This record gives sequence, structure tokens and C-alpha cells, in this order.
Amino acid sequence: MTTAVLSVRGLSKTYVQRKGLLGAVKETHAVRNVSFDVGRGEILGLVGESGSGKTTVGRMAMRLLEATSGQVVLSGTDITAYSQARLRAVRRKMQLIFQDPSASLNPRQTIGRILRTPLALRGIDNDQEILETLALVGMSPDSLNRTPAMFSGGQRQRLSIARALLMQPELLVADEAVSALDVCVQAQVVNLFVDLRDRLGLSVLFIGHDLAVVGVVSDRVGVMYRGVLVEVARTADLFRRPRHPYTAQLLAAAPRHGAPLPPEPAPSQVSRAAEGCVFASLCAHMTSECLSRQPDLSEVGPAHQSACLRTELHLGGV
Amino acid sequence: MTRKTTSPLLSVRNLTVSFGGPDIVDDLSFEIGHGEIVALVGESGSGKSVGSLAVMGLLENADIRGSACLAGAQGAGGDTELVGLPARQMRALRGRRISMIFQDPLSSLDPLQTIGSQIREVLRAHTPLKGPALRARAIALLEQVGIVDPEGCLTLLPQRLSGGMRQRVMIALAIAAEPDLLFADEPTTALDVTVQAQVLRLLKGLRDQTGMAMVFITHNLAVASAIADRVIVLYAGQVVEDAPAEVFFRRPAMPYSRALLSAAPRLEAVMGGYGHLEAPRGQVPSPGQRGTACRFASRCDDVREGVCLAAMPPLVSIAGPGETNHTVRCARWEELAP
Ligand SMILES: Nc1ncnc2c1ncn2[C@@H]1O[C@H](COP(=O)(O)OP(=O)(O)OP(=O)(O)O)[C@@H](O)[C@H]1O
Ligand SMILES: Nc1ncnc2c1ncn2[C@@H]1O[C@H](COP(=O)(O)OP(=O)(O)OP(=O)(O)O)[C@@H](O)[C@H]1O
Ligand code: SF4
Ligand SMILES: [Mg+2]
Ligand SMILES: [Mg+2]
Repeated sequence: MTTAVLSVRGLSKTYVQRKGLLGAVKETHAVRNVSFDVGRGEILGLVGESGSGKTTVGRMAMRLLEATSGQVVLSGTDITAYSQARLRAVRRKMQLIFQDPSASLNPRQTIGRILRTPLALRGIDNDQEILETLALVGMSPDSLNRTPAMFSGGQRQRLSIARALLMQPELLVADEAVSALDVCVQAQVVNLFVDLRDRLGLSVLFIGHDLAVVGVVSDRVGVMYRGVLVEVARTADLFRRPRHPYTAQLLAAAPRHGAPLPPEPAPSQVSRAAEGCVFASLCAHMTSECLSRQPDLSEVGPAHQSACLRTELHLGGV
Repeated sequence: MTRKTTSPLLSVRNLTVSFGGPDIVDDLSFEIGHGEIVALVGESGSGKSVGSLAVMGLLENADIRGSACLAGAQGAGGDTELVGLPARQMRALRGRRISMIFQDPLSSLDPLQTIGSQIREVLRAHTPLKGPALRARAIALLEQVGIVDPEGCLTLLPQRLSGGMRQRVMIALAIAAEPDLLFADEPTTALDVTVQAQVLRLLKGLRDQTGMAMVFITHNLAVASAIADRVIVLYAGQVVEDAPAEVFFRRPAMPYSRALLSAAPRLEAVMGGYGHLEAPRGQVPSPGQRGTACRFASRCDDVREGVCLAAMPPLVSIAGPGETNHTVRCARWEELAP
């Protein structure tokens, strides 16, 4: 069996907030018991509603955020308990790309200076690899003398991807990395990810909310709802034959070319039970058992897992 | 004299904007009908935001030429020229008759004021509401945009809200006074598809109920197709196509429009990691380097030297008799028509 590049097991994150000095304590379960693998040369998409915990999962996987519980395994090595000092050595292998490229490009430095920093970390001091990487992301060599402000948003995003690639990562976490790009540049960047996966065996955790984009780029897709990973499957299986009612609702809400707006989903029938399935209050397939516990992810088909008690359900996809 | 009901609500003529350098928005002309939803699409940097901000009188240090004429309020008559309108009069129109949802929701909310006080301020300025009625309207607005706990939300500062919630508050502020015309600049980009669908239904519902017209700026063509009556495509500061939505998505006439549509990923075409999107080669020419020929020529698969590079193709009407207006800027549109 080949080891996964990234393997997370039972990851949880709970935020505790106190209202005022003596006020009630409020717990936010941002991520609950999430487990998945990203294989070598695989792109795993992660979708779900805003606030469902996608970014929190990505940051915990990179150990940029401490998990409340759970394990993070990078290429077979458990890094959950690594100190910051030990992490520094492995951090180069995982790179994060944000929605806003400005976050990773210092505005006062030239692109040349920005791109030479990762190479210096690897003890290399010629520009050969930089020029190759620039070509790979479709940027010309004269970019090197310019500062980030002289590029459009899409070009800046490609430069921040180039910077990440120069670290020679095994894993990229792309958090809404193409969301702000126009369709032409978005297409270029999406093609680039697929190309790098094929040519360099790069692994990517691709977080996004445009289902069409995620559907194009990902080998498999996971769906999150209120901190829970509710379904994971090969992309086509998930989109065409979803098994979790939330996935089906999400797909139905997505806008389509030339199609009218989808109708409003029926309003909630029951109030949310703290114990039960996270989706119970909005679920058209809910039974009384659904209110008693949160189902675990379980195998419902080949490479297809769903966290729904009603494992017999086959729902309509796109 | 009978009232002409077909006259547009907003008529933009030869609008040109520069910031001391080359023209950013170049000779822009289009019309928005009463209650019409127009999607404004086009590559990043094509001038969608700058053009809208110019009409709203919100650009500083810009040189604005041309005309943007807003028809009088229902029954009131009298058109208003927005270009060059004194700042005081512009402020009186803004929020009440024309309003805008900005591309960046963080920078347009006051970080030091609660959501409640920001909504009340807008309502006080533009409606006669007071006291409990004012509060009730503020709550109703937040409910309308899908905020789950509107009363709690009133007491919060913007930084306590997630990106998606901030975006919804911005929408509530912009529609508070039921304007006649709303510029919505990427209003659903930060939202997940469920909330996005909810906001699109809300905006369309407002149009149906109040007759509010809308300029909807977006990169997402599926969203444009879900909401728009008409689509206007900008490229390098110019209108290159202006068509009824249903015609645009079926048979776009300008090569750049076709390139946009084939670059856009489609939900129906899930490719499971084997996707390859058709990205047009090259980049949009920057404002100083647009030249005098067709601005798309360097990227166009259909370019013909003598025809396309000779001069700037004019924006011509290609609608047949009795058809809704459809204009395109391409020297070869007739030959290339499917
Ligand atoms: N520092 C914090 N304190 C308390 N709650 C937090 C904190 N950071 C995040 N949260 C909460 O954790 C949950 C998950 O947030 P996260 O940013 O991971 O969502 P997301 O899926 O990335 O959403 P989006 O699609 O909007 O980016 C949200 O409910 C958020 O409000
Ligand atoms: N204040 C300014 N001074 C000088 N140039 C500006 C200014 N504001 C915008 N520009 C330039 O004007 C051009 C058009 O910008 P605009 O923001 O209208 O693009 P857009 O079509 O809205 O793009 P996007 O889809 O990325 O939002 C860009 O090249 C931009 O760099
Ligand atoms: S005028 Fe020529 S170059 Fe420009 S879009 Fe038409 S065919 Fe292409
Ligand atoms: Mg996020
Ligand atoms: Mg813009």
C-alpha cells in the first residue's frame, strides 16, 4: 500500500468563548472528528457552506493551528506532537496558498527577491529554477524586476503559486486560491494544478466553494457541513450519485449556465438537536433515529463514504 | 403628451475615465431599463468597477468625460446628469435612488460602529421611519438577506462577522432605501452556493416587487445566467458585446465572449481531476498598450490581418427586425456567425 502524503485522523477544533467576565461559556465546534487522506499525486477537493470548517481543517493539517484533538500524519510521519523547531524542517514540504495573494508577497520586495528566498533556504543561488517555474506558471522572466503592485490580481496569484512551488512541496493546501480570479485566469491556474499533479506528482488539498471549479480539478471531493465531513467520494460519483442529503442540497443550489434559479429549499421542520445528525433539522429524509446521534463516516460504495444513517439513500446529482 | 415608458432608467453615453494617464474606461455606452437586471462581465482590469464608480460619483482624482443620465423618479419627471453633478446633490441621490454593493465588503463597513447603528443611519437618512418602526425595518432587512439571528447581529461590530455575513450586511445596507438602481459589484463571490442562491433570489425578488433595476458585476457566468435579463461584456475598457441573456448564452457573437464561455467550468461537465479548461492565450493589453485595432486581436483565433488590424471595429447592431437590441464589436461577426 502506498502511504498517503497527508493523513488526518479524528481532527477536532473547539473554540471556547466566555461572554463577559463571569458570563456563560460558549463552545464552537468548528471541526468535529474529521478523517481523510490525500494520496501522492492526488487532488482532494473540499467544499461546504461558509463557516463549515474547511479553512480550519486546512490550517490544522499544516499545523498552523493547534487541533483540540486528532492526528496529522505527513508522508507516514506523525507530526501531531512536533515542536515548532522540528516543524520548521518539514514545513517546506507543505505550502499554503491563500485566496488573497498579497498575503504571501511582500509589497516592498521585487518578485526576484521574493522568489530567491525559498531557493536560498534550499542552498541554491542561481536563477535557473526560478525561470523554469515562472514559465510553468505562464509568467515572463521580466517579472523579476517588478514589485507585486505592478501585476493584476490573477498574475499575483500565479506568482504566489510559483513561490510555493519553489519550496518543492509534497503537499499544497489551496484555500480559495482561484475564487477571486476571472474565468480566463482561473482556467489557466486550474490547468496548472492538474498539470503539476501529472508531471511532478504534486498532492493538493483544494478548498473552494465554486462546485464547477472543484469538480474539474479534483480526483476526489469531500463535503463539510457544520464542522463534520459528511461525504467523500470520487468526484464523478459524488456529483452524479450523492449519498448524503446535504451534498444533494448543495448540488441543487449551484447556479448553472442557461438554467433558472433553483427554488428555495423547504423551511426547517424540526429544531436542531444537540446530539443528533448535524443536518437533521434541514433534512427531508430525517427519521427519529437521526435526532439521537451523529453518524460516523461509513463505506456506502466503492471508495465512497457518507455520514448518513440512511445508507440506502440514492439521491439526485447533477 | 403620453409618457414614454420605454425610455431607459440610466443612459450612459461615451463615458471615458482616466486617472491622469491613459483612458481606463474608453467611450463606454449602454442603457439600463426600468426594472432590468444587466450582468456586466469581462476580464479582471477591464473597467467594470471603475465605470460603475464613475456613474456613482465615487471616484477621486479621476478625469471623467461623457454622460450618464438618470431618468426622473416615477411621476417626478426631469432627468439628472450624473457626470459633473455637484457633490451635495450626488450625496442626496446616493443610497436613495442609486446604490452600490462594493466589491470589498470590509473596507466599506465602519469598523467602529455596530451593524445596527450603520443600518439605522441609512434608514434615517433616506426614509421617514423612527423608533420601533425603524428597528423593525432594520431587523426585517437583515432577515431578508438571510442573517439567522438579526437582533443579535444588530449589536455586533463588523469584525465579529464572517466574510459571508459581512457581505449580506452590505446588501442589506444597499437595498435599505429601496433604490431605483443598484450597482452590485461581485456581491456573491464570498458566499457559498446555498447563500449565493438565497441572495440571488432576494435580489431578483426585489426587482419583481419594487421594480429596482440592477447592474450585476460578476466573473461567474453561471450566476450571470441565473439572474440577468441582459449581458454586457467589457474588454480592455470597451463594450464588445451587449445582448439579451438568453441569446448571449446560446450564441455569443464576439470571439472574446465565446472564449469567456468556454473558459468557464460547468457543473454538468464534472471531469474528476482530468479537466482541461480552454484558457485563451496571452493577456488583456494594459491601458497604455491598447493600440488602434481590435483590442482582442492578439488573442483571437479568428483574427485576419487586413480586416481586424486595420482599424478599431465599431460597435454595430446585429439584431434582426423585431428582435431585441444586440450589439457587437468585431470586424468579422457576420462571417463568423454560426
Ligand atoms: N478564533 C475563532 N474563535 C471562535 N470561532 C472561530 C474562530 N475562528 C473560526 N471560528 C469559527 O469556526 C467555524 C469554521 O470556520 P472556517 O473559517 O474554518 O470556515 P470555512 O469553511 O473556511 O468558511 P468559508 O467558506 O466562509 O471560508 C466558523 O463557525 C467560525 O466562525
Ligand atoms: N485609482 C486608480 N488609479 C489608477 N488606475 C486605476 C485606479 N483604479 C483602477 N485602476 C486601473 O483601472 C483598470 C480597471 O480597473 P477596474 O477595477 O475597473 O477593473 P475590474 O474590471 O473591476 O476588474 P476586477 O474584475 O478585477 O474587479 C485596472 O487596470 C486598474 O489597475
Ligand atoms: S475583430 Fe477580429 S480579432 Fe477582433 S474579435 Fe473579431 S475576429 Fe477576433
Ligand atoms: Mg475558509
Ligand atoms: Mg472590479
